[in-house]
Amino acid sequence: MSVRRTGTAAVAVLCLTLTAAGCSKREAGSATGGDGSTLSASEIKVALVPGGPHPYFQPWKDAGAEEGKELGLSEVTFNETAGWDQTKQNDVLSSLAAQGYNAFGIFGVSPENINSTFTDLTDQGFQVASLASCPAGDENKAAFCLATDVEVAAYRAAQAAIEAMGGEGSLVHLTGNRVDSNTQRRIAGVEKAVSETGGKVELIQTVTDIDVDLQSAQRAVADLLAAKGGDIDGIVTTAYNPAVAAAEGVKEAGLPIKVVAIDDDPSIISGVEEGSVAATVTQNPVGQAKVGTYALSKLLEGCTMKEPGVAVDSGSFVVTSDNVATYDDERSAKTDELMTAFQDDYLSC
Amino acid sequence: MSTVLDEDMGAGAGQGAGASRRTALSLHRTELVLALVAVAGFGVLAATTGGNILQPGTMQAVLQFLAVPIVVGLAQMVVLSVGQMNLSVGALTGLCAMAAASLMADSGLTPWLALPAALLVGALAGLVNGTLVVLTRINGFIVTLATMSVISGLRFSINGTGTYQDYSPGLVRLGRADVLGLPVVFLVAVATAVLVWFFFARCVAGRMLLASGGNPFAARLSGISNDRSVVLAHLLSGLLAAVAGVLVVALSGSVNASVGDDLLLPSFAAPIIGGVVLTGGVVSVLGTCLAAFIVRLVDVAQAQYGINPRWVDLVVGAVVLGAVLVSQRRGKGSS
Amino acid sequence: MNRKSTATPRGGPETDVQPPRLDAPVPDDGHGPEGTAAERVGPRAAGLPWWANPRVGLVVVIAVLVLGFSSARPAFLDVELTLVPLQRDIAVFAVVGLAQLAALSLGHMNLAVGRMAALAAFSAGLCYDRFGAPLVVGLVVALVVGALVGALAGGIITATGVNSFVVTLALDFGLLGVVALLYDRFAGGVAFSVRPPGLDALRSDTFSDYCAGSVCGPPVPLLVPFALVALLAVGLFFGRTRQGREILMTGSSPRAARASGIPVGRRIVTAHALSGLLAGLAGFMLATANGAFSASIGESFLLPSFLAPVLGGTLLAGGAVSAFGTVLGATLTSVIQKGLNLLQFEADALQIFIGVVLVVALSLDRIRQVLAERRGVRP
Repeated sequence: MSVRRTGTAAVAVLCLTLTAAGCSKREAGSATGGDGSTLSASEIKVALVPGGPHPYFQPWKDAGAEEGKELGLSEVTFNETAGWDQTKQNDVLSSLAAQGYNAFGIFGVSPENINSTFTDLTDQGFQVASLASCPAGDENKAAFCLATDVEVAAYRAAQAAIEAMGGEGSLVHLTGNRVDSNTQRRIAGVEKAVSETGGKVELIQTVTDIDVDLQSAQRAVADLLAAKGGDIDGIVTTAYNPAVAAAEGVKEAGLPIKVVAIDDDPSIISGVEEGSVAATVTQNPVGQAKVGTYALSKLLEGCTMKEPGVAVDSGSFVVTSDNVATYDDERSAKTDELMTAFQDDYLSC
Repeated sequence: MSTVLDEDMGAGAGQGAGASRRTALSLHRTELVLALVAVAGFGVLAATTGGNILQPGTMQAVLQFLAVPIVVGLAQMVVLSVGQMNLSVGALTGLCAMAAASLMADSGLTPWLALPAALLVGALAGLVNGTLVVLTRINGFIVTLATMSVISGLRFSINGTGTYQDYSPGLVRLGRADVLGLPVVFLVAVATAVLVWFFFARCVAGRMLLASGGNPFAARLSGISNDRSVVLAHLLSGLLAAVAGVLVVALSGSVNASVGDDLLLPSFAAPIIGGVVLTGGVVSVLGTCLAAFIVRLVDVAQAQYGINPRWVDLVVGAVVLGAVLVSQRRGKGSS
Repeated sequence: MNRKSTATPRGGPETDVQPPRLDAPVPDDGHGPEGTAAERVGPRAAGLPWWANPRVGLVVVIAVLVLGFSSARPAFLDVELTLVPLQRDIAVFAVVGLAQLAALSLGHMNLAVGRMAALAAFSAGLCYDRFGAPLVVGLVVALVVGALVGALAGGIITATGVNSFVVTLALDFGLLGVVALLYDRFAGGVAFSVRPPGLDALRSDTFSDYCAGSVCGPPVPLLVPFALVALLAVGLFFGRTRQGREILMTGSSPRAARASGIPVGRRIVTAHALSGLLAGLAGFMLATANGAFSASIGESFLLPSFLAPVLGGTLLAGGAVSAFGTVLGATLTSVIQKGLNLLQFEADALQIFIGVVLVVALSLDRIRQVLAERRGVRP
């Protein structure tokens, strides 16, 4: 076959060029910025890059910009164009780097790939922080990780649901894309909380892949309630669209099911206020953006991490109708506490 | 309710009346098989869930969420009839839903104004799709791929990541109401299907679409403007996508920019399982509706049995292939 | 390489006689493309000026965009941060496009292209994880698995006579479940954490990292040659080999192909196997480029896989393909994406502009074609 011959020839030629060149690999030289050199505040441009458009990340925009103004940074931008695709996110990050941004706060689309992205950026002398989610595995190639562990958040949400159910009964878990390791962590967190009840609470179903489209979530909730609405005592949701759909579906059906949501989008907080949502576990996106921007700028100004790759908990808060008016104060206090902790404990300047 | 090119229109195509009649026969057979599959599937579900599915509440959930898949399937079917595809149906459904919700929540319009406005948006988008296809002579698949990107951008620009709720309690009450146990949204979908059937079976314009799809060359010779057929098909497709968007707004009570992201593949699955041919010239409204119902049964089965989600996709794949296989084999074996 | 491989001597652009239509012929359903093949009467390619070639139009559009973007944002020409990642993206999506092209050559579609890539990447990851296989063994395994799944799709299509769209759609759903189950069973989650030696080099190095004395290579990522080999192989296969031409003949008219003694069934299996093989290669390349063998590989392949070959002049109806055009199509979409990223649009504006730029690029190409036809008709 002529193709096979040509193909083989092409491969052979390629190998030949490589070996004939007698190549030795060049030592990787460290590039711009980084290491020894320090920057002043007015040279620092920070980019906060979430995995895609999502209500959770919206506070990053203002919190980052405010902190940047306070510190006198050249610019803090917020870019949500990654569209939940790791390839696109890498593209967005390199484009921002080419545009002169030198510090990045990143929520990686896929935690199992994101360390490679971090390495790419740090190798070129940029400062990188992993915000709102840590890389999969034990290693973190970013300077630090400032996040609520998604597993812990799901665990606390499941605990809140179990408490609302009175410590026993049947629980259902609604969540997002199954082939995403964050979803796997959330499933593990819910399972952990359920197993701690010693059999008093049964996890009767975990419904995945219903976060893509609000309609799919509503359909899944309607089908679930129609099939076993009478047997369900609690629903814990760890993704946005299922949370909105479950709160509404349960209210509509008039069933005595306790719904626990995650995060504090206005539609969910109003559900807590009027009682259709028993509780929600909120995290601290404001703190992540604020403290993340601060620490990244300090690192560029010459500070170093005492323990590179350290994971810091940004805090999570169970919000019920009792504290729905005040949880934000608690959260601001946590942010201040984080700021001091970075100044005193994590950074060495 | 299947519709093929009439002999008098197809004769010039050299395909002959016989071929056309054969297609009609095989379509009827497809519809029959799909109807049997639907009834059998429903019967099995009813028997194995101890009659749970026959409860009024369950039936209502089944039919309520069948409305949008039916209308979106029809939206795709209309463009398939001229041998084109519309990849923007899902995004357009979402855009129309968001536009309607925004007009009610942000601009304070009544549903009487907001819903027609949403329909207009859909029809306009369809008109743009069709015009672009005709003007640029680029394949509709690629044109609608590009406009899908524009439409999803517009859909996101209306309210960002936010969700609209409480835009019109009256409309949502109506959307969730039922007449003699049949949900209003389902009845609207059925009425839409009947209108589409009437359009293809009885209207001159509908026959023209099928003629252009079945054999553009012959259609041209018999004085039909294929360009006009393409524009009309895309316009109708946009309008139907908007109807689906309106149904979403009425039924769900909350909408955001994610609406429509899950509709693209189902929009193809329903007509294709229903016996519609990708090359154009053949449509089957009944087949499309039955196929949408069968796909819906799979969802219901998942919830009823609590099937491990990991297995669901395997089951869906097998059902899609099986349904087509059964109907096509049957059609072939007897012809 | 640059010429469009067609089954018939009439390789010219479609005429305005009929509306552009999507013909995905179903084998033996009575609506095969017999009619369409006869209709494809266009001005003879020979009568047209050189710039009538659609590939030339694409090159011009790409050049204009590159000029525009780099004058608006000089960072577009930054080697390390823009050009190197851009080449990596183009390489991956060109191979994805070629995978779809193999199915389009028959007038078929492969909707499972992304999931075939995922399964292939899983197999490669499994080899590295369980058997500590060297890099190249995983690559071979990925190619073989891809080809086998593709052949399975082709086999089902041939055996049942069901439309390729439906078969590969069903296969896509099936594989989605299978891939999730496999990762759950063998990786205990959704990804392999193993990194075989050489993977990091393949991922991040360019030829400029390898020097002979003081002479270093060009700043081209090591992944690019994979795409070049795929391009060369596919181009030669359809342009020069008997099998390839028989596939194109089958694509333009199965009935005529059968009448002239071509084993149509076997050619369908071959073309789909080729599609699967290239999907497997793309899966391996994306896993390398992103840094992990994970279940999400291939999720974003489906729509770009059609965009690249069709922009490059491959007909959805089958019977005519352009491998080089596919690479240009992938280049065009990647350049648009990169340029608009550098202009830092908001999420909504970015999507709107991507769509608008695509439509404008396509329309420009259409204008060029119309001009060319006018020139060609009146020599």
